[in-house]
Order: sequence, then structure tokens, then C-alpha cells
Amino acid sequence: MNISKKIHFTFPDPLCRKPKADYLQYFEDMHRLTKGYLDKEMLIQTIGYSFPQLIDLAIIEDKTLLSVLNKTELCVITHNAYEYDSQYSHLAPYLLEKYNIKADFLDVIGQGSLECALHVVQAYFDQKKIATAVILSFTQRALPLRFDINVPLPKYNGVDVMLVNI
Amino acid sequence: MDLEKETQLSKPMLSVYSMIYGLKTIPVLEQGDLQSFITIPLKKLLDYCHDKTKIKYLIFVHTTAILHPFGYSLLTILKEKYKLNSAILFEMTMQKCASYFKALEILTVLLKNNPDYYAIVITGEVAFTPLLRVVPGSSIVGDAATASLLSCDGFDNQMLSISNHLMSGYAKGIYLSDSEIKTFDSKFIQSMLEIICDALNKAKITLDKINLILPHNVNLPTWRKIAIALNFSIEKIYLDNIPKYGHTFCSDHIINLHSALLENRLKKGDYYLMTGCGMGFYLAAAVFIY
Repeated sequence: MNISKKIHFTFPDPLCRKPKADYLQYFEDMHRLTKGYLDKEMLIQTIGYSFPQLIDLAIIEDKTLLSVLNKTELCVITHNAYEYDSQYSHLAPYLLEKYNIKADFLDVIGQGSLECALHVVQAYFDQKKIATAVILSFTQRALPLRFDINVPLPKYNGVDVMLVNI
Repeated sequence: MDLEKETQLSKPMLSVYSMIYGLKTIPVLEQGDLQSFITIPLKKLLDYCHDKTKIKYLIFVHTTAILHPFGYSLLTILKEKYKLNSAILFEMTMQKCASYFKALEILTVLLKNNPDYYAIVITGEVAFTPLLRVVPGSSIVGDAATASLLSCDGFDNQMLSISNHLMSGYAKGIYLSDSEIKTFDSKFIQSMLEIICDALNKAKITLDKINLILPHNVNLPTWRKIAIALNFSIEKIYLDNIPKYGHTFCSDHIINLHSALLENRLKKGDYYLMTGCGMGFYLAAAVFIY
């Protein structure tokens, strides 16, 4: 596997935007089940990005990204940080609907998801299913946190794009 | 369990879901958390697994994108608890309630690359907020968890084909307008027929060879319409769990398979087809031989 190109996009914290009412309700209920402590102010005062917002900004910043996505056979979406208050079911249907990206999509998420995504892509290469792939890794800073959080937090909002080929 | 309180639906609306959609009761997790809930089927599965070092993948598929506060890794906890030291961990949620099918598709590639190893796919979600408990005009959602062991060898439940398809124009999911939902509804049955035919064609068998369809448990009228459109006997679509469990996120198909096997609805050599739909909208189907 060769990494033929890497593009890194970062964006400043967005201007204040009130999240949807069901977004706040969702986290209140989730924290009740998980017995965590949710600082509601964090979700209101710290505004984040949904992944469609991040990809839109990246496409505006680098017009070549769209042609990269249009040409790839497989697009793997990864993230460890959660997305903030999205209006869409998932990024993949959004990319198809808005940009007509017809790549085969799959998502590999959680801790260490970039390494897992590379592992999955390598298997697709080994099986000669595809010859090119794009890995989109998303991160953003507005997250629902427990009071006893002890993991590193994302330091920026952005997208990392990695083009790989066989 | 008070369904009215749980769903926040009025009594008249609840009776519509019950009488017309066939959704009578749902399982609700009243005590414990998601980890303990998911551990139940996983532990049972691991009791059958003699060599845990052979488990190469532990994949958690779920509908809801966010199940825990940030920083909590359920899979890491399960890996350490059950000493699954060789396992690569990740989650999948893109296809929402049809995410299990995408995991099956990926595993056909991953396990071919590692033919001596196994994968465990777990499902499990709790509708902890009213937004998750009801799919408006469609279904009521129950809490459930499953675990399944997959490998390239063995002869039980051999997958012959898998098809996943994303329909364009419905990316907003639960935020689609009523008119957009109507447009989707008008295309849904035909699209389901197409994904089922695609899976059958890939498996090189015809529908008349299918002994049982294991559906997603959306509601009864939807499957009656699909049965008519397919010209397939409704008796051969496994609908018994819809009144008992409702729709259970990504768990429907494995629960339905388990129930069908317990009731001897499948015998060795029978073909069956799993099929379902996830928000976005994703359609999926897979053909198996038991």
C-alpha cells in the first residue's frame, strides 16, 4: 500500500449556534443511562461541527478534493470524536446526495480507527477488490464529556484526507 | 411496562401502532447499563469459543451514532474483560439499522485474508430517549443485544451473497420532511424488490428456492406489501417477533434467525434470505444456506 497524498484541513471553532432541542435532550437521557455527569453548558457554549459541515468547508478550501472523492473506488470514513448536532443520518448519504460521490462507502469508527481503516483497505487491496481508496478522518472539539474523563481530547476541528493505492 | 410513558405516544396513536402495525409489546432494559446488556449474548457466545486467540475482529454495529460519553470505549473494555488479545476492534454505524449487512460485506474480505481466524459481530442498543423509541409512522423500537461468530469455514449458515445499496435523496434521515418520506414510501417496495433480486442473482438462485425470509421488524403491513409485490408467501416471511419485540435496531435479523431455528422453521440445506433497511436510506439483503 502506498500513501499517494495527504491533505490536512483545520478549522476554527465555529460561531455560536444553538443546537437542536432534541440534541440536548438526547445527551441528558444518555447520561442518565450511563450514570455519567453531563455539563449541559458545555454542549451549548462549546459549539462544534457536524461532519457534513467539515467536508463542505474542506471542499471549499481545496477544490481538488471533490475530484479525488469522485475518482476513488472506496471511501472509508473514520472518526473517534463524535460529530456535533448533525442534520443528516450519516456523512455517506450526504456525500452522495450533495456531491454525487458514488464511491463504495464504509465506516470504521472508534479508538484507533485510522489504523483499523488502513487494515481494512489493505485487505481490500490484497483481495484485489480495489486499487485506490480514500480515508476521511474527522475530528471536532465539542463533545459530551463525563466528569471523570481521562483520555486526550481532540485539539482541533478538521478533516484528514489520505489517498492510498495498491 | 408503560408503553405510553416509554414512547410518549397518545393512547389512540399507540392503538394504531398495535392494531394496524402489529406492534404489541417491546423489551425495555429497566436495570443495568449497555455494557452489562451487551455482555449477556457475548459471554454466551464466548462459552462456545474454545480458542479466543483465533478471534481476530470484534465489531460493534449500531444504529445510533453516539451511545456513550466521549472517552468510553466499550470494545476496549470487552476485549480486556474477555482477554480477546488478538482482536482488532472497531464500530460501524453508517447503514444505521442495516449496519450488520455492511459488517458482513467487510468480513467477507477481512476473513478471506485471515482464513484461520474468526470475527465476532455484536449488536446492542437501548432506546434511552423518546427520539429513539419510536420511528414515526413506522415502528416502535425495543432494546436488544446479539452476538454472532463468523468464519470462513464451517457449514452452518453459509452466506452465499450480500448486497448493500444506498438510495440517493434521503440523507436527512429522521429529519426528512413528510413529503420526502412520502416520496421514499412510493419507491420503497420496488427498491426492496430490487435489492432482494440482486442478492438472489449474486447467489445464483431464484426466489422460489428461498424457504424463509428473515426481515427487519419494521411492522406487519410493510411486509405484507413486500410479500404481494414479490409474489412470495407471507407464511414464509418470519414475522412472529414483530408483535413481541418490535424493531430492535441492528438486532432484528439475528434474533429472527435464532427464533426461526428454535422453532425448526429451517432445516439443513434450506436457503434463507435476510433483508432490511436503514435510515439514509440503505437497503440490504443477504442469501444464506443453513
